This record gives sequence, structure tokens and C-alpha cells, in this order.
Amino acid sequence: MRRLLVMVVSCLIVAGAIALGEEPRYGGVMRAAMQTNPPTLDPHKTTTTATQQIACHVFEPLIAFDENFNPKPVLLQSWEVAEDNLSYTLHLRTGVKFHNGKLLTAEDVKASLERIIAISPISGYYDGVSEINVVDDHTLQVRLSKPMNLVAAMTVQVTWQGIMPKEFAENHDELRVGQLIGTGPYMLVEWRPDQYVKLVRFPDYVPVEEPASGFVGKKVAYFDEVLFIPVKEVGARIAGLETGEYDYAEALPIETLKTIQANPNLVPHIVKPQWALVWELNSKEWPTNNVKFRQALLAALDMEFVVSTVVMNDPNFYSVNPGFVFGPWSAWYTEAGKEYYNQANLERARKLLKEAGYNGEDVVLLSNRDYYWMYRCTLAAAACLERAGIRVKIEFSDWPSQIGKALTLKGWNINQTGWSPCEEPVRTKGSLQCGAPYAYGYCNPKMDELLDQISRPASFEERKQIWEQIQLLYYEDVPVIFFGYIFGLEATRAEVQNYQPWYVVPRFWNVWKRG
Amino acid sequence: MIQYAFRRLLALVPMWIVVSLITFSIMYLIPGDPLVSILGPSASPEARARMIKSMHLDDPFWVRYWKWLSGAMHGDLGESIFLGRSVSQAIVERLPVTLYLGIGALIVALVLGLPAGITSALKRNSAIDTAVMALALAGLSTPEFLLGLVLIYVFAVGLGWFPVGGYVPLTQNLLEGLRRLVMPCFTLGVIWAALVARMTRAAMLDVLETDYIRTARAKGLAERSVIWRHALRVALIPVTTVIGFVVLLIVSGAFITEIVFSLPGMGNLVVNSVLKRDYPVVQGAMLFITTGTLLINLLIDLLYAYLDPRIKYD
Repeated sequence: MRRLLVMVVSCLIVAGAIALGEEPRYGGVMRAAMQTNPPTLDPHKTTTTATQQIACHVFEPLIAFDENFNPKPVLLQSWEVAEDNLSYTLHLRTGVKFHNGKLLTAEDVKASLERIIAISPISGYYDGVSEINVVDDHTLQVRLSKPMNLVAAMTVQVTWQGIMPKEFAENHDELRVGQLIGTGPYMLVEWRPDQYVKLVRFPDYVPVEEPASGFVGKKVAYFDEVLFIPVKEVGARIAGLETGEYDYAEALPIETLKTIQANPNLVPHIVKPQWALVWELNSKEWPTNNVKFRQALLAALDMEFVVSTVVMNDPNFYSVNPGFVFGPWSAWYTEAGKEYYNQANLERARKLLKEAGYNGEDVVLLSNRDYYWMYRCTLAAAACLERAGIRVKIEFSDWPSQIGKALTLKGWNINQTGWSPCEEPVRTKGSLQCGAPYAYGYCNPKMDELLDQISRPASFEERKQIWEQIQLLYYEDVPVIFFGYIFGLEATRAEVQNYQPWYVVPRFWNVWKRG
Repeated sequence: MIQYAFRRLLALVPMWIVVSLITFSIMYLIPGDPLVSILGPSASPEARARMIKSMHLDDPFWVRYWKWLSGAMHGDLGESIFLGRSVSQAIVERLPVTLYLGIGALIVALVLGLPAGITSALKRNSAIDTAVMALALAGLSTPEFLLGLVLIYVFAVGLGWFPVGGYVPLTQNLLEGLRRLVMPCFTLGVIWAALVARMTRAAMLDVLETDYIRTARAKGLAERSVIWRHALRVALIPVTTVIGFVVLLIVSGAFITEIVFSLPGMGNLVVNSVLKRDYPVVQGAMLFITTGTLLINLLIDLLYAYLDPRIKYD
């Protein structure tokens, strides 16, 4: 009996201690060591990750996605689509305040959407919008020139679609600190390039009551301040975390996982998913302009070997699956065309090369050493091609030079890159549609038709069926090569509580520090 | 002397124009543009076209060069694409960090390098000489980033004496600012102390074998006086060249040190700007650094005459 009593009391003490440690606590500063500086803090001016990481704390979109990439309203209350599919009515949440104290109205949303359409690098997703009308303070009507899935467009890369007050949204030049005002849980107050970006808690933030997931649900800003500090040298990021100078560090080499696990003051986090390994193929240049040759590339590649090599064969850090851009964690995941994925079939590859008329010409592969995972992917995948008898000429340069050359569409066949996790099928239009900037010459009217169909308003089930056809056609045409996903490593100090790693941006809402 | 200095200053003008042309051309010729950094890799062609027009990136080379050069001659180095301020303002903000780092590193280099070189020369072929030269060789062979990271792990992570990096302006908090500069200054300084030590030793050995030193000793001067008053002053002439060289290397070496220790100095500014293709900043900063280099070289030449009265420029 006495023994039982001791056990019960011990359990209660432990449970109490855990509960005490996990009790949310306001206050403190989150010092986040980031690998790079943002080029700008204006979310409508760029698509870079460094800007998204900060902007998602300051701005909120109309719609965002949860951890399973399902669209959910954020600043919207609800929406309706007209029967003819040529207009949407958007109803806004009421009582939402901007950081300058002003209440969110339909005028602000209209000006923000118009700004996105006018200047954002992702404006192409809104190509069917013809007019935006304010119905009343909290209602808008968006008119379309062709049937278009507006919700899908709003869900694409939501961190770039923040809503701002009308007076700033009407300014189409780059906005600076003081003008970058959103409705998010943190406010932007200072940016000292190469030193830090400072956010402070927005005291009047009104969270929704739904449980937090992904970019939606309840958001609470517990920290007084969040500092994003650029620390380029990875050794310095880890050292700063060890000494307690930083509370969070991103983009750590996976080789450091054991070191971090061995340190009781640190908690490692695996960011799942983080990057898709991709080769973009130039359909304007021989031999990648030949579909048989592209199929030979796909046949020769051993995806398991390539992706596992990138992460030093650590199974915690990769996923190899046939879902083109959507992994098993997404509702859009499908295995259509899986027989074409991860073939590692050299015999078939050689047969297809012969049919293509390939005679051992140089295949120019653009890559870089700026991102270690791209570099490793290049070497491992090039080795697969060499085994099949393809002569690969790798050209390494820095990342901006590589992109610069890729955009010329001349003098290269394969462009090594990485894509952030895809949230919406319409995003693939940028890489699969005739004339799209990153289709690099690929054009198939059948694919265009399918992309057009998936861009129209329809139920999820209907759209999913179309997506399965797109994936199958992708595997037959091979406009790009999708290897698989790698996961990232980041770490926090042990006193940081409730941090949830996910996607390519850290989320510091609903996170606090133990007292 | 004044005439000579004036002539040299005049000669700097064509050199400065050539440098400006090279700096401008390099940024113009390398592939890639700032649009990838600003807009991101998935920007639409329309967004790229809009940005190219607004930044005048479609103007011909000579038009862009002339606009930039004429601005630079009036002290206007243009506006940074990313920083939201003028290039001159960015340089003014970053220069103190690099100067503190450079001055600190130079002090470390001289305090360690000069006595080590003199001692080594005076104890030629002894165990001390061998040890000093071996250390100097090791110092010269050590990459700055490696020494920086070793110092971080020993003195910041291990002993907790210094922070791992970051910058606090000395005007804001003198002690904390200095604490954050100790490791970066030591990283740079210790490497260049090795060069100063080797040059000082070689120069001292040459001077110690000259007739006038033998005469000084023969007439009964104290050894201390022979070394400090007669030998060292002459030996310092080649060492001065090296110190000038070290100042320049400190500025270029600071690129790496500033990145390892996350210091927002000129090095960090230039590296970031090159990676993002922030043309105005790279061109302006390089022009500024080159002008500084030319002026330091001139200053060193003038110092020769002060250190050795036999040198006459007129």
C-alpha cells in the first residue's frame, strides 16, 4: 500500500512539473538565427523564403492552408461562387485590426488584391480576375473574365498574399518599415540589414478560436519580441545555440543531429516536408527537347539512391514516393504513373536513348554549391546518367548566375533546383503550361487542357481526378524530373516550448519560453 | 615632398577611372541579376520585365556607366537595390565596424608580431627563433574561418568568455562592444602577426649586419640603444610596407571574419551585395575600397621619407 502511495505521489509530482513547464507564458525575446538576409520585407515584391519567414508573422492572407495543405479561411469568414463560375463573393471577418489600429475593411482587401495582381511575382495565378468590387464594409465581389478557381489562386504560396491597409496597398513601390502593416500576431518595428529584423507582439491581435494548424487557426504571440538575426556561418549558428545566444537556428547540416541530440540544452526538429529535389529540363535544346530522351533520363534515375545520398542515407530525412510535388502528407497525393518513378532501369534507358537518336552529345547540367543539397543531388543523379551512357557536363556557378543562365534557355539542358512543398495543383501551371516562365519550352495542349480544367471551380474530388491525369501525363512527357523530398534540420533551446517544425518557414506564434 | 604628394594624387585620377571601369564592367558581365534575389526564382516574366524597366537594367552599358561615374564624381554612389538607403549611407554605417576590426587586428598584429620578429632576429638560430618561425608559419597557413570557428568553440562555447558573434556599437555600450570585437580582432590579427614577425626578423637581420651597426657597437653604445635607436628604425622601413599591406589584407580578410562573427561591416556588405547582385553597392563599395587602397599606398610612400631621411622624393 505504502509503495503504491509513493508511486502515485511521484507520478503526480512529475505530471505537475511537466504541466508547469508547459504552461504558456508571455514575455521574453525569441532570438532566431537565420541563414540569410531578406532582400526586402515587402511580401508582394518577392517570392524568397527569407522574406516569407518574417512576413508570415506580420501579415495574414484571406485564405491559408493547414498542415495537410487543406485551404481554410483566415481573414475571410466565408466565400461563395456564382453558378456561372464567373464571380466570387467574399465575406470578411469582422473586428480584425491592423497594427496601426485601423479596422480591416473590404477597401483594404480590394487594394491589396489589386497590388498583388499588379506587382507580385505570382500575379499570373490571378489572370482570370477582371474586376474587384466592394459591396459593403465586409463584402467584396470578384468578377472573372473566365471560369477560375479563385480559392485555389489565393491558396498558392499564402505567405506572399498578405493583406495591408488601403493607404499602403495603393503604393506599388517597395514598402519599408513603417509602411509594412498587417494584421498578424507580430508587428514589424525595425530592420537593420545584416544585424536583425525586429518584431514585437501586436497587443490587439484577435485570434480565431479554431485549433492551430499550419498557417490557420488560433495564433497567440507569447514573445514580447522576435528577432530574426542573419548568421550565415552554420558553425556560428550552432555555437550560438549552444551558448544560449540564440533560441532557434535554422538550416543545420543533418550531420549535426547526433551532436544536438546529445546536448540536453537543445531540441532538434526535423522539418517535414522541406524541399523537393527537382531537375527542370530545357525543352528547347537538343537532346532534352526529345521526349524519348527525357523518358530515358527518368528511366535511368535511381531516386532512392539519389535522395538518400543527399541526406547521407539517414532515413529520418527523406521521402521517396511517386507523388509528383504532393507527398503522402497531402490530400492531393496520388500514385498515378508510379511505374515510371524510381525505375533505375539502365537497359530501358539505353533503349530509349537509341530511339531518341542520342549519340553521346554533352548534356549540360546547371548547378551550384550554394545549397549543399542541390550540389549532392547533382553529383548523385549525374552518376546515374553516366551509367546509362549519357555524357553529363556539369556547370557549377553561384545561384543567381545559374538562374540567370537558365532563363536564357540557351546552352543548357538540365537545371538543378529545389521547390518548396506544393500546396495547390494550380501552382504547377508555372512549370507545366505552354509558355509558362519555368516550363522552359515544354508545351503539350493536352496538359494545358487539364491545367485549365483544374483551375476552374469544382469539388475537391473532381479536381483530384484531374490531378491524377496531370500526374500521369507528367510521367509520360517528363517536362521536369521530380526526385523526392528531403527534410530539414533546425533546433531550439530546451526552454522553448511548443515549437512545431513544418514547411519552409518557422512559426513563432503559440510558442513560448519556459520561465 | 608636398609637390611629390600632389603629383601622386594627380596620378591617382586616371587609375581611379580605370578601376571604376573595371569594377563596373565586372558586375555588368557576370551572369545573373538582382531580379532573382528581389523577386525570387519563381517570378513571372511580366514581373521581371517591370523590374528591369524600373531599374534601368535595359539601358546600354555606356549609358549606365556614365550615369554611375558622373554621380560618383559628385559623391553620389547611387541607391542600394535592397537596403533602402543610399550606397554612401550604407558605407558610412558599415565602415566603423570594419575600422574597429581593422584597428584592433592591427594592434594585435603589431603587439605580437614586432617583438616576436625582433627577438627571433636577436636570438638567431636558437630554439626561440625556431619556435617563433614555426608559429609564424602555422599562423600564415591557418585560414581565417577555421581560426575563427576554433576560437568560437573554445572561448564562447567552451569557456563562455565571449559571445559567438554579433555587433554592438561602441557608442551604445563600450564594454559589450569591445567584448564582441575581441575574438574577430584576434582572428585577423594573429594571422597577420605572423607576417609582421617574419618581415621584422628578416629586416632586422639585414640591418644588424651592416657597417654602421658594427661601428655603433665598436664605439661602446649600449646594446639596447643599438637595437632600438639605430637598427629598428631602419629595419622598420620594409616592415612599414608590410604593415600597409597588412592594413589592406585586413580589409579584404575582414570579408571572411565578418561573416564568421556576423559583423555588419564592409566585408559583409560587399559579400551580400555580390551574392544578391546589388550592383550599386558592389560598385560603390569597391570604388571606395580601391580609393582607400591607393591612398594608403601613397601614405606608406610618404612614411618612408620620414623613417629614412636618405630617401628624397624631389
